[in-house]
Amino acid sequence: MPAEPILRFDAVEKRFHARGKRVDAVRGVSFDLVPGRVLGIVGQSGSGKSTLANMMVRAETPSAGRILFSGADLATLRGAGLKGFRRAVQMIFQDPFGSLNPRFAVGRTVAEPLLIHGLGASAERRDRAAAALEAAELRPGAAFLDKLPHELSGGQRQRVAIARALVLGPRALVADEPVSMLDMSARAGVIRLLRRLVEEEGLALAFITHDLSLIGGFCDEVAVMLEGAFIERGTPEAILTRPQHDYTRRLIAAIPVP
Amino acid sequence: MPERGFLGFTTLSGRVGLGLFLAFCLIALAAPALAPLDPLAINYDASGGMQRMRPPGGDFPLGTNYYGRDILSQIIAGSRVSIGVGLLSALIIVFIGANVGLFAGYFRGWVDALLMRLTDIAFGIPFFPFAVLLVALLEPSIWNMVLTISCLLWRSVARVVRSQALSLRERPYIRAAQVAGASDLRVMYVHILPNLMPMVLLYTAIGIAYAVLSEASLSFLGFGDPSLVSWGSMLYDAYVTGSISRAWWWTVPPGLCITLFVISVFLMARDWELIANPRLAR
Repeated sequence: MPAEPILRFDAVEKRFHARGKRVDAVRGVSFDLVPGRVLGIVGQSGSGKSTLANMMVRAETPSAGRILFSGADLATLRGAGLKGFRRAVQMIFQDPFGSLNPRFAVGRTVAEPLLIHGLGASAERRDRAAAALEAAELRPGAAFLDKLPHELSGGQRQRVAIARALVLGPRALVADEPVSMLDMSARAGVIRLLRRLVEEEGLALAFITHDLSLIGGFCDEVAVMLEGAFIERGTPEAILTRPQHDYTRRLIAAIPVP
Repeated sequence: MPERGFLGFTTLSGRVGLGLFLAFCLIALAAPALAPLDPLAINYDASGGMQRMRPPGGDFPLGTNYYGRDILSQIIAGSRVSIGVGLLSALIIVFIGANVGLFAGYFRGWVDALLMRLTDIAFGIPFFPFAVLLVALLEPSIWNMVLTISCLLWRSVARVVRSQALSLRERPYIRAAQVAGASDLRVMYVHILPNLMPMVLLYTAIGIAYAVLSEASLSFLGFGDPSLVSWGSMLYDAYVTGSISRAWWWTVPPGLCITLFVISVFLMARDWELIANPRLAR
């Protein structure tokens, strides 16, 4: 029996109006984010996957449909309920260079969510930041606390961003193209780390990418997104070996042969 | 990353500017102790005659003015008012401008529209007629002078800070903080403003220069506090007594001080501009 979903999208739509023109960024999307499972969302740029990611962390609210967080409507959450959501669902961004404040040392960046939520005294926050860095496989964590972002490689920066997402002890992570700006060796490491967090910590992970080659052994379920809608869903094996949709076939054909 | 140098002063001209600026500030701070004579006292000679319009030399290194007052003492005492009004006005200018720009750029929408229309109005008001009106309604004093200057000159700071905030708010680390639950004020003052500091510092320097010039101009027009000496009011006195063409020692020192002080601030600002806009550095 599958675990209770942390986030449930129920026929969610998102429309934007720009200069009198209507843009349907997300059209009737439904899915569950379940603990211990990775949902891969694949689509080209402009397919609406980033809008979807923004709605998962309530940076945007749906135009229609509902997003349920532990059974409550996310759009109506206020005060303590919203703070609880902010602690439970964290995001990892595409650009590891832009997602860290260049003036903040690593320890301050990672500890900031604790400060925002008023958790722990200063020394305790530092310890928890070091622990989060270790969980993101930056060892020893304490050695990274006083480094500035420009002293780190792209892969290390992305791990700092992951540590910042982990420090509040979230139940779900939304990763929007987390490895597309990393080089090949760093990619494999970050993907292994995310998979381990899902398996060992029981996190729910939404993994958003344009690159179908990344989903193979990593996702439990894959949804292919085109023009704001899920056009095909299934296990990675099913999607990769028996694609039903023309667009999926084209994406597979676009995977470079190693 | 350019070398930071001492307080960001990497070039010789920047350090010369800093040296001049600090020298002026020291003179202003120690003015009562440094001035050899009372700047407002009328000096008489042994026979009781007023020592007016004496050229430099003897008891008066920079001569005396039409009222028999010592020019050197007036220059030293005047630095207090000129620099004090300049620094205080610049601080207020930057405080108002940075906050208006930050709120407009961060919140956008109607907040932006409201604050930027306010800024447009500030740009539309001509400085001197406004100052004349304000002094007529209130009274000539250095506080009203500070009020007049800072009431209008925050406008360019607000526009620049807004445009920077508009761009910084889209950085991924700002979104990361928001997703972690940071409040708007926290994002603005902890994440955006510190990254704007080089720009703000640059505009503080430019603000000091403009404020000093404005104080001198307003005093020259006679809107200064009549009981205080400033560099601008010295020029005003020389003008109203018809001495500008007769006593160079009365007009050159205050003019030179205003010029040198403004130059010193601009030299410092040039170096800060290298930090605010690293592409200028080569």
